[in-house]
Amino acid sequence: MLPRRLAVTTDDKNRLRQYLLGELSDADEAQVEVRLLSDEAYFEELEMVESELMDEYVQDKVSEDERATIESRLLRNKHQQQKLAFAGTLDAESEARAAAKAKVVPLVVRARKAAFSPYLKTAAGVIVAVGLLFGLWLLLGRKSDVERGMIALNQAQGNERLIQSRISQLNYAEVRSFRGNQTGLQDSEARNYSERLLLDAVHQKQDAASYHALGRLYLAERNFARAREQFEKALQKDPNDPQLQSDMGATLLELGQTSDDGQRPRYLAESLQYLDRALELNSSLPEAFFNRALVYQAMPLLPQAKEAWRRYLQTDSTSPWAREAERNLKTLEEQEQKGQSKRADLQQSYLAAYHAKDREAAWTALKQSRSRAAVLNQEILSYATNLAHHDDAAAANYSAVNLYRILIQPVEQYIGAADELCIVPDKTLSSLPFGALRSPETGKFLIEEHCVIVSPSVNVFMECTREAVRKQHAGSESVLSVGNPDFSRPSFPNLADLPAAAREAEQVAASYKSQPLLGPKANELQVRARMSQADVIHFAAHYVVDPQSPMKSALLLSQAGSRAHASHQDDGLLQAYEIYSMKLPRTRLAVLSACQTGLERSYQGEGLELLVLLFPLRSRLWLRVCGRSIRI
Amino acid sequence: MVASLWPVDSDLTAPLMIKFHEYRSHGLPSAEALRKAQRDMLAAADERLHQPYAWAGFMVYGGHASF
Repeated sequence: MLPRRLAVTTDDKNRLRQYLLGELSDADEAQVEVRLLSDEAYFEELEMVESELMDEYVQDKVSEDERATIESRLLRNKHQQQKLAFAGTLDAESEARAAAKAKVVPLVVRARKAAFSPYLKTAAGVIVAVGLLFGLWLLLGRKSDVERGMIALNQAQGNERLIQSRISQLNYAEVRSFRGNQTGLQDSEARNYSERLLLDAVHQKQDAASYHALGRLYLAERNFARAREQFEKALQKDPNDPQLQSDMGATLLELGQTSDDGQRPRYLAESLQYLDRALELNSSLPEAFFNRALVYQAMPLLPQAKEAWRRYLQTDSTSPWAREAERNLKTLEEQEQKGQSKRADLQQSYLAAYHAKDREAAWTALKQSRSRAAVLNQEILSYATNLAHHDDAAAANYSAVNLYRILIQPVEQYIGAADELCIVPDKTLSSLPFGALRSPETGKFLIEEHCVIVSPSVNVFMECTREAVRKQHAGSESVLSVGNPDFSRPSFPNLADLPAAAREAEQVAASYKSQPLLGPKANELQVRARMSQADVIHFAAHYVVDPQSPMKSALLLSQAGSRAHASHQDDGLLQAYEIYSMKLPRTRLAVLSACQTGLERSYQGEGLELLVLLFPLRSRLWLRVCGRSIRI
Repeated sequence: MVASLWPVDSDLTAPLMIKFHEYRSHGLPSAEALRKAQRDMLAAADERLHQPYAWAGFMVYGGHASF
C-alpha cells in the first residue's frame, strides 16, 4: 500500500505543535497518531515542527510555561511515545524511517557539543520517536557525556539488577530472581542511549572515567568479557581509583560464578585482590565491602563471608543494600547451623554403619562429609600440575595466593615471625609446594618468611629428628656426590645426558672437600660401597618412576662390568627396594636432584612416594607410618 | 631428605643445589640451608630461576632441622 500523501496545511502544523505540547484531547491525539503512521509527509512535518520546537527550547525562546510543558510533557508521556515508536517500527512501510532514527540519534549526542541549531534542524525531529531519550536529554542538561551515560544506565537498569555484585554509581535494584526470555537490561532504549553516550565519551576523551563508565554498562548487562576489557583500559590510565578496582573485582567475581570448577577459584582469588586493593585505597568503600563478602561466599569461605557482611553493615546500615547484606548474613547463619547438624548426622550414620559392619554405608557417609575437601583437592592438584608443567604463571600465582588464604591465613596468628614450620600434609596436600604459597598481604612467598619442613606424620618427624641427632658426630661430614652417570642409553633412549648435573655434583663435592663420582665412575658397585660410609648422599641423576610398582622405581647409574650378565647389584639400576634393604648407618641427609625423567606422564604427586621409598631411615616406625600414608 | 615434587631441568636445579650444600657446609641445618638457597634463587640474576617451577618443588622431608 502506498502512503497517502496529503497536503500539510498550517492548521496541521499548529495541531502538531499542540500534539507535541500535549494540548490535544485523547481522541485528537489518537487521530494524529493514526495519520502519522500512514502519512509520510505528515510525519516529516512533525519532524520539522519538533525541530523548531527544539530550537526554540534550546535557545531559550520558549516561554516559561512552554518550557515547563515541554519538560513535563515529554517526561510524563514516555509510555505514549514509546508506543508510537514501536508502532512505527512494526509498520512495514516505515522501515526507512526506522533506519533514519538509528542513524540520527548519535548526532543528537554530539549536537550538545557542537552548535545546536544546524544539527537540530535535521536531527531533532526524530526525537519524538525516541521520546525517552529526549526526556533524558532534557533532564541531563549540561552534564558531561559520562555523567549522562550513567544516569541513562541507572534508568536502563530500573528496579532489577542482573548481577549479584554491586557496581559503583549504580542505584540499588533487586537481583532479578526469575530469568525469562528477557535477558538484557529492563529499558533497552535507555541502555542504547547510555552506550552511545559512553562510546562517544570513550572516543573523544579516552580517559579512565570514560572507559570505566562504559565497563559499568557492560558489567550491568552481564557482558563480562567486554566489561573486563574496558576496566583494564581504565586501570592503565588510573590504577588508583578505588571504585574502578572494586568494579574490576565485581567483574571477576561474576566471571568466576559463571565459569567451570577449574577456572572458578582463579577468578575468585583474582577478584579478591582487586577488592582488597580498592579497600586499601578507600577503607570505607561500601561496594568493595559488599563484593568482598560475595566473593568469600562464593569461595566458599563461610566464616570469612559472615565477617565480611558484618563489616559491610558497619559502613552502611540503612540503605537497601544493607537490607540485602542482612538477608545474606542470615542465610549464611542458617546454612551453618544446618551444616553443623548435617555433619553431626553424617557422623552418627557413619558410626552406626561402622558398628553394624555395613562398610558401604559407612563409606557413603564418609564421602559425603568430605565433599568440600574435594574442592580444595582440585585446587591443589591444578596448582601443582600448573607449576610442574610450567604452564600459566599468572594462574599459578593466583592459586598460590588463594591457597595461602585457605591454608595458612587461618593459623597465621599462631605463627611467630621466625618460626620454623613443620607441616604434616594429609592426602593431596602432600603434593603441594608449601614454600611457594604467597601471602595476599605482603606478596611474599612462605619460604621468605619461614623455614619449612614436611613430614608424613608427627611420629615420623619425631623419629627422624631422633635419628639425625643420634647420627650426629663431631668433625666434618663425608659426602657421596653422584653426577650424570653413564646409564644404559639403549634401555633409556629418551633420556638426555645431564652435563649440568655433572657440574653440580662436582661443586657439591667441593663444598665438603671431596671428589664426586661422575659418568662411568658412577657405577652401581661403587655407589653402593660408598653409600654406607656417607653422611650426606647427593644424587644428580635420572630417577625413573615405576607407577605400577613403586618399589621398582630406579636411580640410573653406570655399570662396572659388562652390560650382559650383570647381577642386580651392578645392573646400573639402583632400585628403591635395593636402597630399602641397604645398611646406611651414617646417612643423615639424602638429596635427589635433577630428577628429569624425560617421560611424559601426568603429575600425581610422586614426590612423596619417592621420598618414602627411597630413603627410609632405619626405623620400623618410619616404614609402618609411611606405608600407611601411601595407601591413604 | 631433600627431593622435588616434580621433575626439573638439571641446569635449573644445579644453582639451587650448589647453594644448598654451600650453606649446609657452613653449618646451617638442612631446612634453613634450603630456604636460604631458594631465597637466593628469587634474587638471582638469571630470571628463569625466579619462577617457582625452578625452586619450589624442592622440600625438606623428615625431622627437625638439626641435620
